[in-house]
Amino acid sequence: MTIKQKKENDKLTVYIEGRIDTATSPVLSEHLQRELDGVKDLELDFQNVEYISSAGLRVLLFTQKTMISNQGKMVVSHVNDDIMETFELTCFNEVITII
Amino acid sequence: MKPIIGIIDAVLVKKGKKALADLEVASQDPRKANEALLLKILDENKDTEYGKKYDFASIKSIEEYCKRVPYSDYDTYAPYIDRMVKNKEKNLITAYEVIQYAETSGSVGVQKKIPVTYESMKVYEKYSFARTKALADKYYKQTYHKHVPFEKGLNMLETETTTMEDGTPTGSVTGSVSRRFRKLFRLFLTSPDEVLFPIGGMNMNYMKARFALEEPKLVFMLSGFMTNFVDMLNYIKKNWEMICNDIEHGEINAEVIEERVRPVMMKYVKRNPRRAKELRAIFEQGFDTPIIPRIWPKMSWACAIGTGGFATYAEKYKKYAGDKVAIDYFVYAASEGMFAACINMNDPRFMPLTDSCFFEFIPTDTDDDTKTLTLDQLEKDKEYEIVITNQCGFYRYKIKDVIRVVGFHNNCPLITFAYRKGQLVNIAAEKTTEEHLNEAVKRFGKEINIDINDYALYIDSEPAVSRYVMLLEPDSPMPIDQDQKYGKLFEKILSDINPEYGFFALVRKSIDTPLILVQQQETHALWREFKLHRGSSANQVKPVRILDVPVKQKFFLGLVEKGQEVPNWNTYGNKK
Repeated sequence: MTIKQKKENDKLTVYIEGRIDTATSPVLSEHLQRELDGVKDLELDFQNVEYISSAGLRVLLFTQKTMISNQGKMVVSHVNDDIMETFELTCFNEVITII
Repeated sequence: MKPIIGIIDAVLVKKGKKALADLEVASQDPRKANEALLLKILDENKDTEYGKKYDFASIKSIEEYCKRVPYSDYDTYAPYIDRMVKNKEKNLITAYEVIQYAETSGSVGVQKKIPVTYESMKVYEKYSFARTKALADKYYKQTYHKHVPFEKGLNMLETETTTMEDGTPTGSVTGSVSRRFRKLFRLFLTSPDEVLFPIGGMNMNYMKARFALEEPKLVFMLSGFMTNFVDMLNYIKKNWEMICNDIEHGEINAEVIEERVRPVMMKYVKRNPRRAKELRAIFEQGFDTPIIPRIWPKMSWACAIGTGGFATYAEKYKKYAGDKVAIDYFVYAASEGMFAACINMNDPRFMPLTDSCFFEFIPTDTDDDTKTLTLDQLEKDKEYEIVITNQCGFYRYKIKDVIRVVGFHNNCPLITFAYRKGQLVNIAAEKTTEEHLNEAVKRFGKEINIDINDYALYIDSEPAVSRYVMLLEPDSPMPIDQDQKYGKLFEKILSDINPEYGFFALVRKSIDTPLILVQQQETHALWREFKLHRGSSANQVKPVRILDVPVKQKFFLGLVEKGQEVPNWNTYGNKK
């Protein structure tokens, strides 16, 4: 998994590539914890994310909670069909914003 | 030890010893003790609407009571509770003052509002903390010939304050008990008040760990369920570097707490490089040997429910704690009341509380429920559906739990929770219980050398011969192409544990070989966090075992490892 990002004022867009699973989710989690200071508008771009597991979903949930606590917002964009299906089956689409 | 803590200790031990002494007396003649409670309840509630309906005033014996008052369930009382809540009517089902409504964890259905009275709260108070402290004292005197110090402790219970429209508190009963002792907690618990009674969004595992880790003299840990302990310890295992940095620099990580709340909590922390260094040295050695005695050398006892569905988490806790930490398995309770409590450390058997509810029991090996048994009529190794009359307005209430008698203390049966009716797995009358499955999963993990963190299952009844579909969540990667081998192995293990299953599976061939699916790691933790995020209380989220409703089915089946065939899932539009 690789992570790139773009920051403009209080908007952060994080581009993730690869799999978000048990092995890689701690890396994503640490990255987001480091970078979220002062961010009010977070976009996680999933254009090149192949797969997300339960461990990855936990990172999303925790990040969502952090953003809400800081009066910010988080969206997940460019989700592929498989990942969208996972979001729908787990009802994650009811707690996170997907665009 | 500060003088005030010494006083609290002495008071707790005295109250706890009294509670244990009362249990000892009741255990000599449990029927007599329980009958006395029943007659008291009937006499004090004879003028309620329900009491008049069934003429409680003229009932003078257990036999008369069982003959005249029918069984009930929540639907019996729902209309009364509706009037109590909307119109504030009193004396409908209980003469006692209702001090709150407990929302059930919904393990067998939708959320209900269960009235809680001061009378029942007194039982919670009597058999909760004071009892466990007295048990710990007794255990340490007998085992180590010393007094267990009452210094700092960690309480995992959180109390959210919610109210109904009329201002009546709602939430868990344990939370309400905590509220009554709130002012004392700061004297001997590591978590600040704002963590025990949350004032805003914060990662509770972090907050509990943050303050507990700073206290090297931690002596005890309290929780509702073992899952809370294990979740926090898993969190420490993953995040110790961050936590140690925060302890060293007197910080609270901004990512774990709501911005407006952080300044409030920052007043509780200061730089502590010495403790941070100690902790780093411990954590760098790894978690392969029990970590709790290394972090907290004085840790003496822990109290939490670790039986039934929580048994697997009790095993995990013991891996963190080692042999020296005594465990009080706490109580068998529900929102409807506290039914039984442990009377010895490291002994998961519960003694029914004859001053809490009046108990009746229906043997499970018969379909005839017209006759019930009392405490003095139960037999060892038999299972019974439990029926309660509580001090909150529920009479001959079928709570849908089945208990097993596992021993006796004097003349009183000792029980364990066996299963919930409706949660039993049953294809061909094999009646596989959660206990069977817990044991089977444990043995299966040992056989394949992979720890199974948790599990859930459903019945695949589409094929000609039905089968269990077991979703096993491993602690480390597990192959997904061994389902045939694993299925046979699990079948053999379960047959050994539940001979009825063995008969139907291996002899009659009316149950097919189980299908083993590998659940993605961290799925059960994700479920708990998801429930909390959607508003459930940490004191109420229980492990999922049976995928009996669509929301659970979709969640858990949607998170099995890819590449596996999930049978008969077309109803959910899945094209796997």
